[in-house]
Amino acid sequence: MTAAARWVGKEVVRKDAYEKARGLTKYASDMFPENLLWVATHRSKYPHARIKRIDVSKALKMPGVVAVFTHRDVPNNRYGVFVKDRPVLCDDRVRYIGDPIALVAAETKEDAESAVEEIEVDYEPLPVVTDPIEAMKDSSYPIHDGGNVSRRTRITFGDVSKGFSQSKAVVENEYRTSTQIHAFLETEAGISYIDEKGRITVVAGGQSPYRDQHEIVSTLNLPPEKVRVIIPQVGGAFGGKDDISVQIHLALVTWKTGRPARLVWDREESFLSGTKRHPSIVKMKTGASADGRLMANDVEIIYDTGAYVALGHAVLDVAIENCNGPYKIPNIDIKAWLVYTNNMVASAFRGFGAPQVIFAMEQQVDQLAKELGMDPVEFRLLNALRRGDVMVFGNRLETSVGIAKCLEAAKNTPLWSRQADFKAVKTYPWIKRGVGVAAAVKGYTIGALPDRGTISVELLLDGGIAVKGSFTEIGQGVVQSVSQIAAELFSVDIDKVEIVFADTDKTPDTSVTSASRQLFLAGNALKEAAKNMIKHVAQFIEKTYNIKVDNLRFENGYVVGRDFKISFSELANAMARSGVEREVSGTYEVPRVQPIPGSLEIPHLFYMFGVSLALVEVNTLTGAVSVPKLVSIADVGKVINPQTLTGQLEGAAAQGIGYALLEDPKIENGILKTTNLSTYLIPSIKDIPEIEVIPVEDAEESGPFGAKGIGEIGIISVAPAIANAIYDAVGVRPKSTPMTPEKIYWLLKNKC
Amino acid sequence: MRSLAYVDVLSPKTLEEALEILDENKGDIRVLAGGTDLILQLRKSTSFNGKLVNIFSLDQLRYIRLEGTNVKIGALTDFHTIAESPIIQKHAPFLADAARWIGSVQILNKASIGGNIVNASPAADSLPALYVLEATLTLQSKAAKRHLPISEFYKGYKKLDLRPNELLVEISFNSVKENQIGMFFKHGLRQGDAISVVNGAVLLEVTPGSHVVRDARIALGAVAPTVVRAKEAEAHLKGKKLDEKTMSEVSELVVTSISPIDDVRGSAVYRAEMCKNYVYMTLWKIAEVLRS
Repeated sequence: MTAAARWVGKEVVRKDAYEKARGLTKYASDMFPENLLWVATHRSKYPHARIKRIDVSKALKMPGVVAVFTHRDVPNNRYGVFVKDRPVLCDDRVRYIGDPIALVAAETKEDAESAVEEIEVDYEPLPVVTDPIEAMKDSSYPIHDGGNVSRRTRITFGDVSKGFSQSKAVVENEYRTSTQIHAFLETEAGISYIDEKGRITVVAGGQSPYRDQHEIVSTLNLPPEKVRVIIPQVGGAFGGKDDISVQIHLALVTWKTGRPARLVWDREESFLSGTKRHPSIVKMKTGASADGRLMANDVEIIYDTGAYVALGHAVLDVAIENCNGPYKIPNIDIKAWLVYTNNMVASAFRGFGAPQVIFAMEQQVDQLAKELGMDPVEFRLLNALRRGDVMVFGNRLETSVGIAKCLEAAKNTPLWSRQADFKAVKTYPWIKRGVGVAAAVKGYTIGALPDRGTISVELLLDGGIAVKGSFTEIGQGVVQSVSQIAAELFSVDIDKVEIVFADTDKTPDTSVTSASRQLFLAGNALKEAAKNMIKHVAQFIEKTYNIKVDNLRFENGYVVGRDFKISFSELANAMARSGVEREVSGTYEVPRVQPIPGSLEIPHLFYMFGVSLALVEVNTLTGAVSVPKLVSIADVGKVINPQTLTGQLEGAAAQGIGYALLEDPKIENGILKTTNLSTYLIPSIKDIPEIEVIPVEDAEESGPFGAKGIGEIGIISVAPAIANAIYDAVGVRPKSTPMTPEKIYWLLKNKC
Repeated sequence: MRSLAYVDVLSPKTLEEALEILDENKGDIRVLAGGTDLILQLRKSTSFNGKLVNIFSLDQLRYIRLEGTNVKIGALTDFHTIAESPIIQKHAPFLADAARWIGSVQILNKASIGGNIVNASPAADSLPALYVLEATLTLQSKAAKRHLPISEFYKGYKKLDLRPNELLVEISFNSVKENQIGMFFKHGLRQGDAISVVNGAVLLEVTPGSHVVRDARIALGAVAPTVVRAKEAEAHLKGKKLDEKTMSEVSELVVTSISPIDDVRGSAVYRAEMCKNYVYMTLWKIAEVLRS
């Protein structure tokens, strides 16, 4: 089938491209239902304080105010996927600057914003816990009952002391990475209303309509059939919309007032109250034998989850799983902590815990290669996991492992093979050039946790098909990829494929759009749905026309059997006349793996791999680092749409450059100082170089047409590749992100 | 963030009308030009309760003219126009360069040179170039017009010699001469669209042939409450050639003229280092141009 593919692997222009380019697409923040109430949020002024009194009486008397809501209006005021530690509206305590305390619903935006200022809260400030290492001590002030260590675990395989005794080179370092803010173009935004069936309907940016619905009904104590969640086109998510933001608040307002509502966070609110990438402290001692084989990795991982756990427990698992890189290492000892502080809230962000530890490990690997006098790519190739190998956790890799192919591709790239030429380019005497490499691994799907997804397909009367699933379009292009897979499986023109997505009323549960899983899950479920459709159609034809059907297949808009051919539209109309269901579904369930002791979801059954190569220019008189060229290599199994794939990898590389060099949130005693885009700098177009994307297709037999995940792998190895390139250029190693001009400058200054 | 929906905005059709409004409102009014700084400031301000006079439509304040050797720029002229102007590119190329680096395309299209001057941020990118050009500002009120050297306009951090009824209407300076060479520099924390950590401009007059410096002007931004001239460094350059020793000595001397502070963009010590190193790099680049 792949050989004659008509749609899969083809550069088909995204269906949403024209309407997005013309500004016609309606995002949640573009929606203004009639008679709406504007909602504004009163937020904590302290990073940590007891609430002694909340007085909303003045706010209620303000012009245009219809209602003010506090925790008293929320039946079950705690939510959270792993730990229910987060209040919908704060009651006894605030735990970070920006924690929501009250909502004002008013007739105009200005009325709502003015009234929010009139809410009075009496606080008793509590000690502010900001340093995760301090937070881990028994003496630190507990942010939650049970203390500030939310999760601790230790995972060992083999014997690291034996591994170090067999090592010729041992390097030991501490690395730190900072918070990263998603900074999506569209902030957290949504509207709500009562739909025609009387349901509270929330239309908001998100990554999982069914989970958002669950959090609404469980906190507001409503029957699930009374709440509907729709996720329209989303203006960026990157994991930052994996958690609840505006959804419960909107549902609360519409539930209590019966009126439509609109809540859109401004940029400052998004920066304060949106979730972020976990800042980390990673200590690593890594050893390699004289012949260049990794022997032992002794690791301590501390992730700062901030005020609430959110998805932190799973993020910590991914950190543990990825801290050894894509390598065979016989002896590992990993200790990990997830710690509460008053530093806002960390949760999912593209890479989900992997970029922090890979930043450490890939610099360790470079240092070992240097000590042993080996080429960094050859050293990685020697240690690279291959299919059939036993991974560090004792799990045998029975699925696609493309890291060696990625490293081979890196080796043959001019930036690596002719790096001397790139470095010899002269500009000014104070500019030094260097080239660096780093590799990455990350599981896709949600590992040893249960993971399934359902897709349904309806035959339309006009001969087209409607494909329905709860996957969300967060800009990544899943709607396009699913369209192409559907067009291929059902052998119809892509214009005949209609996609209905992310609506708990209209689409089956394909589960979360995260963990680089949706193309894989939706694609596989769609394959099942196509098989089921064949069976369903065969039955209908046998029954209706009284003929025996075998070898039924889809062909250019027709259903074709041995002795007959019937068009989709004819078939659909016949089914409609007979009152036969035209919609069937298919479900794919990821085969279950037993989690290893001490983990929730380690190991995964499926992994993606990647390599980044970076050329940097370091200005030794300013410390500024620029990246004139970056090569992003990713093992994607099979490319479904080359253009969308390039978009994913270029976007990930740009976000990785921001993480590596620019994004520097200044948090002083729990208070964010960089609350806008003029002080928290994300890359501008001038900071983004020529990015060369090299897809490596190591087919995954379990995937749709051999495809694997792609969303996250591109970001993970960017920061360590840049760090290694900086070392190559000027001989200093920052060991922390972001690698800002001032940081590099003082390292250079102190070196000489 | 406060809403500005209820602020009164007066939109005069002519300069005369605008000056009349300023005269009547005696300081209870702020001038809105491009608005790229002002609107953000007002959104955050708790004290502002006055009105706005919106001069954005006064096209008579948009021009770039060469009169003899004098370049005149209308105060409302936007930075995109300045960056692209053949007159500026020829007669003050480093001002065109500074204009180009002020911000994103959207900012360049909206922000005016007058707004940049009156907003008085010590990090404003157009100011060092105007300082080394020793530009003259024309301030006009309903009754009078006066001219002021730019360095006398600033009396301290955001303190201006500007009367409540006056409007900045024109910026003028002498075009650079054959034997003058100038350069703008800017250190931002990213490659594009960044607010300066330090910035500056250098304008040297050299003896043709020998390249001995006759006159030197160095202006530095973001390292003091106002833009400053590095007088000691300038004096040290006079009569010398741009050799390695001179460039190092001059760059070390700039620290005597500055008083940087710590903020989210950088520490004071880093700012001082950047000031020195950028002056060095700029002199080096000027020397290279002179050699070729």
